[in-house]
Amino acid sequence: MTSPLPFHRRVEQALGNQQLRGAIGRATARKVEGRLAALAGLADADRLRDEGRRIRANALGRLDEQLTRFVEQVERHGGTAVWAPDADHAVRYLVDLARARGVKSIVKSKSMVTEEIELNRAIEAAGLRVVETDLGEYVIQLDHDHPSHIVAPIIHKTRQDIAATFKREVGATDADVADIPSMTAFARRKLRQDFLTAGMGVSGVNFGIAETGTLCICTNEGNGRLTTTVPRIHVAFMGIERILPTLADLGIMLQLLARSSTGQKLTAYTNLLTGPRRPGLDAESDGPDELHVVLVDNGRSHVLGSELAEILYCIRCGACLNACPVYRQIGGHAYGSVYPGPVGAVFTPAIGGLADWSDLPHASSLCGACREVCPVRIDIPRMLLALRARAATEGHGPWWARVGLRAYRFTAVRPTLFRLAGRLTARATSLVARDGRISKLPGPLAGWTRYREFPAMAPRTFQEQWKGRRQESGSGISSAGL
Amino acid sequence: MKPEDLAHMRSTLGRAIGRALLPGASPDGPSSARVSQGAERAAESPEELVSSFRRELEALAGVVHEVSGVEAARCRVREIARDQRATRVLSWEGQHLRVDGLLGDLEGDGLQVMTGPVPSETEARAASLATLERAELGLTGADAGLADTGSIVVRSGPGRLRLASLLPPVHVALLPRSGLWPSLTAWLAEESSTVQDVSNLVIITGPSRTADIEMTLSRGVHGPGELHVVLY
Repeated sequence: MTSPLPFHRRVEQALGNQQLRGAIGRATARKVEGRLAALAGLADADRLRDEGRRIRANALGRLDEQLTRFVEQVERHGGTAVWAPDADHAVRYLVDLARARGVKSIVKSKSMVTEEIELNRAIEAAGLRVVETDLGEYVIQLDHDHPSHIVAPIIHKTRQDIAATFKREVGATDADVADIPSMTAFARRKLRQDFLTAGMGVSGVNFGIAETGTLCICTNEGNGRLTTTVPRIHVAFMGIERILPTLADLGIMLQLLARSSTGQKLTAYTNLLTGPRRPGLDAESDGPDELHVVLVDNGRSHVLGSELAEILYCIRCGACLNACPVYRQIGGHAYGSVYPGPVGAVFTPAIGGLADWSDLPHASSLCGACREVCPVRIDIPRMLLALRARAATEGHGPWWARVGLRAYRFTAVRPTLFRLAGRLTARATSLVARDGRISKLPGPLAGWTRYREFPAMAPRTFQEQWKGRRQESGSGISSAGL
Repeated sequence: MKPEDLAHMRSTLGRAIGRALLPGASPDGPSSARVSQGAERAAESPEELVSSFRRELEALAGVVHEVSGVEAARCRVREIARDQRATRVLSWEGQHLRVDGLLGDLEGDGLQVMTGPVPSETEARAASLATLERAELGLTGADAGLADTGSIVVRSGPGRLRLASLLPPVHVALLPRSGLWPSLTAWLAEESSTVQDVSNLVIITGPSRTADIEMTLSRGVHGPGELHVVLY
């Protein structure tokens, strides 16, 4: 989960791509409107969000009990539950299982956690075939690209891009890609064959219900249902934080998820799976004969035991991406991480460490729009600041920032030096400024003026001005305001 | 799960919870949000339930066929099959449709009726799936209809193929008016034990859809592109 280019280079690339910015701008604006309209239809959206937040906080506060109960219930209904402390354990379980069962071909429905553990790479490295079946993820896979949005993976692509991909990679004709419905029908035909011949289906999980061992998987296309119904074996990967204690809790969360995500009241298919197909004399007519639930920790328990635990409340609706002024300019790829946007700026360094991701907590103006739209009111700005502080303490980030801050601290705690430095800086900036603005700063400060001007400092420092005013008005002004 | 893994999981999480900062946590109990939702919706009349269900499902391009009684429902399903020029139907077994004689009628109309089950053995399974996939029409019952979202609740089980609401391009569901509930929360409050009784229960809200390409809505990408609910 690391990116080849430094963050500022990725941002420059994104900002230079007019097509990308147009597409992201239009898509996020529509999603913001859709969410607002959908929430307006709820009798008491604010109280429902408070309730959602309470449910998530309580579930995580008892995660050990809840997961234990969940595991018991999954097994009671004939499923297998597996503990995967890290990505390596998780992918190895799947590859070993596929080999043991003689599976050659795997179909997959959209899932963030399998992107996080880079499952596809492991499957292909083992010589097996894996097909992404969500339309967006299918295009991403054919293009060897990465998703740019949690919910809408190909919002950065035009229909012409996708038509070209279908023609180049899977032999579509001009008629197959004449318009969007034709392209959708083409993908249906292609992928249907993969569904019917796959030996295994792999899915993520939106919510795991502790009291019943039920998996809830929400999709609109129906690929999630096919993945979990047609192949003989279903393997579900679930981040350990996705637990809800009861079905009543699920009723609350479902009212929030689709509305916040796509502006729908419910997704087209809200699929509840409790164990594999029931065997015996009165056997169920279809469904997978085996169900495996892989519980993925991969850093989550570490996050739980920290001041960042609140990020685990997230239900992956993507509303914070759509609302974020930074995401809306740069899109998902510039973050360089599986999880983009405000939630990704916290979650990625929280589980992946700051050594690789110290830039992400800075990809925010701290305006608070993410907190405002979050269905469970996660205080993302608070955690971005906590991560920035942690990065500084742990010594991540560029050397000149560390040196600069150290120098500032040295100066700021010495009043005489501070006054002197203030005067010197004010004089110096007035020397290089033209019409009160500085358009080029030297050395490591050049980054500041590359895209914007820096105003020259006032010729006299604040302290000088203050002193002057006090002298003018005698003792009339109290210094209490300072 | 292996006992040692379970123990490891529990101790890892137990330690983490001891240090966790979890703002917003408060003791469990029936919350005000939950209580008010149940109460305000219980007041709806049967006519209001029907009109809300119809409005919501039609907004999603689903088709609602309101008919009176089982006989009329039987006729309407035959008409839909004729309009679709279907030759093969993937259906639940007759007793689960709760409309007597319907499958016999369809066969009399010249349709091939397939009801599964799907075998477990790999090769037999592949052959069976290839046959079932050719159906143009899927026919199921529905355990419940949810008025505030226009959803139907469809339960799998013996004689109740999941694939019938999934593989064919058109899905027809038979729903008695008595099966209408105000909302998902109201239904879950009364019927949550149903969820555990079967391996799969799906809440279907309109036809299969995607907006992945340029945010443009397109129906029938993997599941049925048409959803007909015969409300009798």
